[in-house]
Amino acid sequence: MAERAGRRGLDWGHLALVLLIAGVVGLYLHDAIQASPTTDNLILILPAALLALGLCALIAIGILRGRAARGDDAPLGRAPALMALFALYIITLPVVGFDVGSAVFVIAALLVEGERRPVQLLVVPAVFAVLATLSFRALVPYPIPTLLL
Amino acid sequence: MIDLAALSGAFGLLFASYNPWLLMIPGLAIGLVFGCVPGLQTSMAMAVFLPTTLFMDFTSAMFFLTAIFTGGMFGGGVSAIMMNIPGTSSAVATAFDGFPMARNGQHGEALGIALAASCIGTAIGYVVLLVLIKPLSGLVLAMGPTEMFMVALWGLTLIASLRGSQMARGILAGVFGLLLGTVGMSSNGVLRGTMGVDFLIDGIAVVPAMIGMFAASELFAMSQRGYLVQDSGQRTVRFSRVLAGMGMALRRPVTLLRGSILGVVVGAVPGIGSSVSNLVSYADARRRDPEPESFGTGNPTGVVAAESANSSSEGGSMVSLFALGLPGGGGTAVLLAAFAMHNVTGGPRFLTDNADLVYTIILANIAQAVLLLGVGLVLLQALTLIVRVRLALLVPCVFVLAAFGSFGLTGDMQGPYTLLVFAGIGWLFKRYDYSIPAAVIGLLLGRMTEGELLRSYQITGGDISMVLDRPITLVLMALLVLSIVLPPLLARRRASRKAAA
Repeated sequence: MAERAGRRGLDWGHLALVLLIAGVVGLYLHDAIQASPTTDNLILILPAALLALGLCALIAIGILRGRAARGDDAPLGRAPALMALFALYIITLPVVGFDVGSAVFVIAALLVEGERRPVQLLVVPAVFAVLATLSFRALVPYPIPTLLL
Repeated sequence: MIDLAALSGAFGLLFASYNPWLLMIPGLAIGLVFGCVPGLQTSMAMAVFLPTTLFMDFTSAMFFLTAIFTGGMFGGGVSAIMMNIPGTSSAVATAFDGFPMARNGQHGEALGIALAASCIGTAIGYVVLLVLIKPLSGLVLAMGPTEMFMVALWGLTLIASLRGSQMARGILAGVFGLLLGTVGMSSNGVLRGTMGVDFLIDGIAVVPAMIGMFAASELFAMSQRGYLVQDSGQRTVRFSRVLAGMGMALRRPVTLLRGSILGVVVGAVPGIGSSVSNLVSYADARRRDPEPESFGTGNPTGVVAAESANSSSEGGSMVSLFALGLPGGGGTAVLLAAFAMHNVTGGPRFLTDNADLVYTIILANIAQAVLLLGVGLVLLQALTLIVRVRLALLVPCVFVLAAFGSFGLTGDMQGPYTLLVFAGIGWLFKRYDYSIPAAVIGLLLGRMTEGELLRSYQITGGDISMVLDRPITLVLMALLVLSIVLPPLLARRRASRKAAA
């Protein structure tokens, strides 16, 4: 495994993820101590955070020494594009509403997947978005933000 | 243990009119549909349909609402198997082996196992309730924070057994989830980790987070595969294969029985029962199996253990409702509201004054378990059309449903935002081999573990010897230690015997 990692260089993505986890845990621990440095407040957070930071250090050392098993080396494919579309969909929901937003998101995702047939590309997502909006509106006891429906 | 006079009165009430029976089938169907749409919770279905029970008599209302409850417990497993998204938090463990079975083209068998295990689990859960409601209610009253903490700890031990191939990463994922589960206002009123975001004061919305992690971990990576089931010949759900799956469940009677009993006992613990019972049962089945490493890759025993326990936990959750008038979760809270709507007062006297009514509801639920078999077999054909939809269309549609559902859960944009953030985390975790089930379990149990640990600490004043006065805690602790220590010892003994032979 060390040979494999050495040949391909450092697994930067994995290292970044470990640092991100350590950063979030460290920040949370700092915030919790600031909020109240008592046993009552830190009874679970302190030992759990220390364990998490210790594990982060262990994994990071493994990555730096090239000993950690690499993550999924499969090509990323369209996953990052779909993730980005999904993020855009969620962030714009309060503006474009669930009806229009959902239809546009499904159409965009189908485009990314290479769908070009007009019925599949336009009609199916629109019908799905209308049905989903109407059924959830009937079932969910809160008003759902929409643009057209 | 059974009040025979009340029981015979219950049979009289049960068959007094056929009207309440007519409500069971629609109730089961509603529960099934709500349970299998990611984000729609069974308790939400019960709340939505609660007003319709105003026009029913009390028995009919109970039959209808508990039918939704029973249907929902199975429905949660359907989406866990077909989409890797547990429809409810009590179906988390069903996804561990159910979804790998579906990917291997065994979705028919997996659904058959889930259906049989759910029906049998529900029936056993209510039979146990019928016999043991009085002693169990005493047990629930004796449950203090130290006992609740032990139950939570039992659920958490699953993190270690679900660590995946990378132990340090698996445990880190679990501990990270546990920490995220404690974000927000603590049980002693301290605000931590919200970073000024108002949404987080009540903590991270656990169900949208769970949906995001499970969904993103598999679905984004799968969208280029064409169909959920690769082999076109297997893209139909043949009745014979569902029946074969049911046979697979029946061939594991010990797992079924053990899961059902664990489910009803753990399910009786107020607040946490149904979410933990399926995990405890799954962990137990995994520890006892001669090939524990096959769990998570599509082992039918895992599905049997999880589904039998989550279904029987419904019976367990009724203990505190019937005996104490206390709801242990969302579903039983709606039932308590239905009590109030029909001028029935729940509470410790309810069980003694209305034993015949309680037995009627219990008997009706045993009948529902049989009806679920029929309703499930009919509806499964429609629900499993999913395998015939191309993933290019199915994946974005599932995410849209998850966005709707998470909005419905929180009533504002907190749900969809949580879904998005945890979808990102889930995708990264999957890519770098961090166990997502471990992270989800940590997240589910974090807040509760901290609360019970804190209360235990406050009550004992940090003096551990006080735990010695609590026999239930000691029994739970002994069982926990045994369940962790015994299986590896037995496995080693088996291996050395084999080597000697």
